[in-house]
Amino acid sequence: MANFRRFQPNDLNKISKCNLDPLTETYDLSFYLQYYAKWPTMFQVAEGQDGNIIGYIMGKVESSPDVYQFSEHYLPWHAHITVLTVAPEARRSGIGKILTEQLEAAADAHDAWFIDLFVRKSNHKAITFYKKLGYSVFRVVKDYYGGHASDPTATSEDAYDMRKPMRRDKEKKHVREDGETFEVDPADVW
Amino acid sequence: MSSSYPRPTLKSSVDLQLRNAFHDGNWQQAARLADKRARTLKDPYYQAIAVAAESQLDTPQEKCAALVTIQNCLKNGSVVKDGEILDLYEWASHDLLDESQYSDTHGQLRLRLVKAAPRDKPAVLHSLRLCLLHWDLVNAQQIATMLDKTFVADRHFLFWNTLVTFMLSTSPQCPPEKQKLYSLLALKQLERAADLTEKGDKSGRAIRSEEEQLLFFRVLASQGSKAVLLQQLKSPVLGGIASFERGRKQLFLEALDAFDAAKDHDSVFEMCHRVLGDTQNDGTLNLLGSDWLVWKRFIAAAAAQTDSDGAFAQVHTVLESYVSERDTLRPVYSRIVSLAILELTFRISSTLDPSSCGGESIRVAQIHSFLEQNYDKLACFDDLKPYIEQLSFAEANHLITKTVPALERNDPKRSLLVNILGLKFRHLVSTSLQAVSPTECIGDDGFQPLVACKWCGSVVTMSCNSCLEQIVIEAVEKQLQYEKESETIANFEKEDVDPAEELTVVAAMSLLKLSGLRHREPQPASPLLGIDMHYFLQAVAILDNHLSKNPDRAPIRILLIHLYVLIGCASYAYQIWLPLDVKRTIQDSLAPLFFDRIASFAPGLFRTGPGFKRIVEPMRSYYRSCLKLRAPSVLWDALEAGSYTSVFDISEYMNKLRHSCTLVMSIIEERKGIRALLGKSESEIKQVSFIASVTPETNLAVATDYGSMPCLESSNTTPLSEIVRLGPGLSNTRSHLEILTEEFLDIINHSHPKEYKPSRALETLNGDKLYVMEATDRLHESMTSFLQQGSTPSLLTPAEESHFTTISLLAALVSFAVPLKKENHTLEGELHMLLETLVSTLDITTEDFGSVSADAPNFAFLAFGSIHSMSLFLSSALAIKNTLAFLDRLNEKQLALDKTGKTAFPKTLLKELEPLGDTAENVLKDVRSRIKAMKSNLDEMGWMDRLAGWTFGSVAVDLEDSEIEALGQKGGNFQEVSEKVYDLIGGMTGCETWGVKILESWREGIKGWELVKTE
Ligand SMILES: CC(C)(COP(=O)(O)OP(=O)(O)OC[C@H]1O[C@@H](n2cnc3c(N)ncnc32)[C@H](O)[C@@H]1OP(=O)(O)O)[C@@H](O)C(=O)NCCC(=O)NCCS
Repeated sequence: MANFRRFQPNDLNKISKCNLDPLTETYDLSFYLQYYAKWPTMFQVAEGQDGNIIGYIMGKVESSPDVYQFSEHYLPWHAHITVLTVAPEARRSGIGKILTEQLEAAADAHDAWFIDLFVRKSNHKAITFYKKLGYSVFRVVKDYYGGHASDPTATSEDAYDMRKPMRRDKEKKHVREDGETFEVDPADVW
Repeated sequence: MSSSYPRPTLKSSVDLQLRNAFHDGNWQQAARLADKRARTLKDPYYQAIAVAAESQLDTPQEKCAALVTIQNCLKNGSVVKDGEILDLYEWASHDLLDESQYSDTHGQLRLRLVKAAPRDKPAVLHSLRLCLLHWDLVNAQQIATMLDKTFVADRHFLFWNTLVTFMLSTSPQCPPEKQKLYSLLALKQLERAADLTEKGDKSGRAIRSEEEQLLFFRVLASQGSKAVLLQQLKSPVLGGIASFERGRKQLFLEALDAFDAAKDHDSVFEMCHRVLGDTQNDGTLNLLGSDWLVWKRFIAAAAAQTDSDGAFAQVHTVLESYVSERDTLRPVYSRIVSLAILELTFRISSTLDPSSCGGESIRVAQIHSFLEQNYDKLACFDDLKPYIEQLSFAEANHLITKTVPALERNDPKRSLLVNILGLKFRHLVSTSLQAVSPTECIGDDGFQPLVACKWCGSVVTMSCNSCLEQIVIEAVEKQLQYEKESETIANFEKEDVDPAEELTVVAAMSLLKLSGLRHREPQPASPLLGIDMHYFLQAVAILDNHLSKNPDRAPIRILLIHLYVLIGCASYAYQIWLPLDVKRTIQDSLAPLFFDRIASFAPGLFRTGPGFKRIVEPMRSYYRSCLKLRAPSVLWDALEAGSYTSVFDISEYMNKLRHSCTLVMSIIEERKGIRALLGKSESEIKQVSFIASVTPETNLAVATDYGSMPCLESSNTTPLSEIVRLGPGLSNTRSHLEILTEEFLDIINHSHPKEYKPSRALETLNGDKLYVMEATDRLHESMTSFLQQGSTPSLLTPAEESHFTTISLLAALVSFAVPLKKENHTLEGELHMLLETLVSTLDITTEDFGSVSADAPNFAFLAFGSIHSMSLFLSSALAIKNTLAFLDRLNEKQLALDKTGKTAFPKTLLKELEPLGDTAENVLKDVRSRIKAMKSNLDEMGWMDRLAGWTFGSVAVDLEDSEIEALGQKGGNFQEVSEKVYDLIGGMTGCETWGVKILESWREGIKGWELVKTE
């Protein structure tokens, strides 16, 4: 049964229900701790029985580095979902949505233009989930992921860069209709 | 030199030639050029470059150039005013100084620099950063204080200062007499800031952000009085509820914890009431605080009120407001509401006599309505488990036989899910005390307490086998039926629920229970001794069959790894382990699930050379990379971002990681594995960087995560993870005993290189002896104090307990024997006793070892099942042999240096030691012949039939009555259960596919054992 709260480092010893699922990547410790250090309110967990973590979201707010200011791919002040995962046993109960909405609220509080994320093109469940929540494909990043989630013969996989405009973007300047046809290279995203 | 530390970039004013030389690591040239520039430009920065470059050269004198310069500065009190010079020195001397010396060296110089130029903000910040990252809190605190004093307008520095001061006060770096002072200082500063906030003062030095507020409460909780803390947590400005009202949940949760810990039920009730009853501007419920934990505490606090009826009524009213909005709630909140109703019902009715209403109670009715809404959720069983455990048998019976079947509909998907839940409930109740009642019957042996199953009336010792067998039969039948229904399968394809997996788990759990695998006191020599092999292997077969078809599910994988380790199929367990992809961060919590005790059950996995990789390498590189600096660089990011609680939590986490039992395990297991194969270790344990600082007082932290293990058992029985493990999990005690053992082995296995010929040989030898005597005495003391703790037997396997006892006695023997001289005749008493204890410790193990007879029809199963004990038995014997050899060498050296023989060991000692040597040799012989017997057993023909017979008895192969009896095949429903399971895994074909894996893994294991040194 779920409790929603901020992440704390000891949770890293309780994330097996989420991280042993093949669609959830495990990162180096410094990666998690960096988010906890800089954006602690954007790292939220859903805690189940016995302290087991049954879902978490890890995000941040930022702009592209200044050196890219004049690039067409420059991203203004926005929020980013770096990791979202819900343990298989806890899916379809709205936990993913609650965690995402919390991050969206934080993005609005930080006056971000939009919130974005990358997802494997083959991850239909997640794409459906995000679309249901109002996200749309903004661009396709070719060969963004090494290896393919469902095709063992493929050496790479494209990513969808999905976005949802936040309150600040009243005119919906930061989303587009035909994002699926808009391709970029991994070098164009930061 | 300095390879692990980032090389500083030179100032932009430095000319290209020097810059290139420095950048390219052309140290001779860089040193020469820098020296030249220093002379012409008279800029000390160039001198520092020269020193830093020189420190990269080869001679010891050159290597120490930077260190010597620093020491000179420290000695003559000079101030280096250029921070970049200090950067160069730090880099150039990094590998020569231990992190703990930072405070007395670089830290001091940094502080001097800050004192000399306190307004140079970038330099001050840089200094503070370095002190923090090297965990030099002493200088960091002084710098932080100066920062705050110098830049009063920058309000952040106030909080940095209090944070660092507080951290120093709680650290061992702080002199004890100053701890109170620093903690008070931090507290007072924060109290002043809190006071300003309370008074509405908007000035810079008041608490504003959530993190500042959390910092205040952390310090208050740690240093202030409890009454003041609770008082403050109620403050209408800074308290938990006030914070919640601003949309900040964290402090509210912390406040709730504090009031709960203080048993202040009134405050808990009030706070929960306020939060759960909160609405948003549009009148809809504010769900920010509507967590299960909050509801649970709300209801518990209501029960603790003097007017509990009134309080329950208030809970009820709040719950009603949720029920009326249920349609708009996310399913998870709707489930929380249903559970809260259940919790309330159970609380209220706990005062009533549940048996008075028979099985059809209000509690069962509430479970029914929960099931109606949530039967299709995977978590439904876990949610209900605590409540079902509270039911009386009559209620449980009603639930299982009436309520659950009534939930079935003319919808195969729903019916299947309901059936699965029903089976899980039956398993839960059948394995708990609810289902049995004490009976008058006396067992055959007259001792066992017997009980009668309330369902079928059977008289049983533990749980009712006949009911469990029925569960297996039904679970397997359902699965067989499901596999035929392609439409239903299609229905589940997109779901996260896999009925086949659920049914497999229920059947396997019941089979394991039937096998008799359980927690036993005292622990048997091997967990498989005395268990029913057929049912055990059927559980393995059924899980393996499922995994081969559905490789993505972790729980079954984890359970299977444990079961294969139990039967000694290590290489196959490793193959199952690898796809779990346990890497990076999760290794600390998950690696023990496979790697704990690995050297004892799979020494062959430590083979080195082409084609073999070091199996613990991922762990090793993980710890190496994240523990490189004393504090991670993100600590500074946290401080800069104003995430004060993150600073605390990160440093606490890193400290635990540095002293993690998994880290110790990864080092020890590899040493043991390599020593088993090569007869020696690569280095001394105390030279391993992470172990060097560990003392017996260090608290080594356990982080093992069993959360992904299936769990159907009642909470009053031992959790599955403990039953299927080779022995008790990692612990502080075991980790220390392992380290101390390694230290002892390092002493007795140490030999000087041949060319080592000290000039004053006798004096050196006496010095060595003194060291050995003191060290072994210390080891014996430390090991004894761990071994004598009451809880220790429950933290070790019996084999480990006797091995560590042996090592501890050997340490005593060495410390006792080493100072003995020829004329010293008072040997008898103490030594005699010591030797007797040693021999008898070994004798007990010999007895256990001998209980597995090579003539047993299931010899391989038993022998592989006790491989861990065999391994420790072997280690003990080798340790004895090597200890005696060590004493021999020492004596010979003594004789060679003192020809009078006066200082040599007394003959009586050597005589006394002989039987010990003989016993050890006998053990080694036994182990060698056991390995040989296992090998030749595996070389025999007919293994597939044999394994099929061990698993399914006469269901799979023709067996004589005598064979059936010898294998312990049971009557009862055994036949029917076995037929079903056999059918499910695909009859003889499936059985063979699976059997080959076991056989090959055993053969692989024996190949490894043949390489193990037993001489
Ligand atoms: C994607 C994921 C986070 C969704 O989490 P969740 O808690 O199950 O999602 P929710 O219950 O909040 O779903 C909200 C809505 O999304 C849609 N949705 C979610 N999962 C879906 C699925 N498997 N199929 C179709 N729609 C789905 C539904 O419309 C759902 O609402 P509904 O249940 O009322 O119909 C989860 O499936 C997951 O962890 N996947 C693996 C990791 C991953 O892929 N992460 C995303 C990578 S960026």
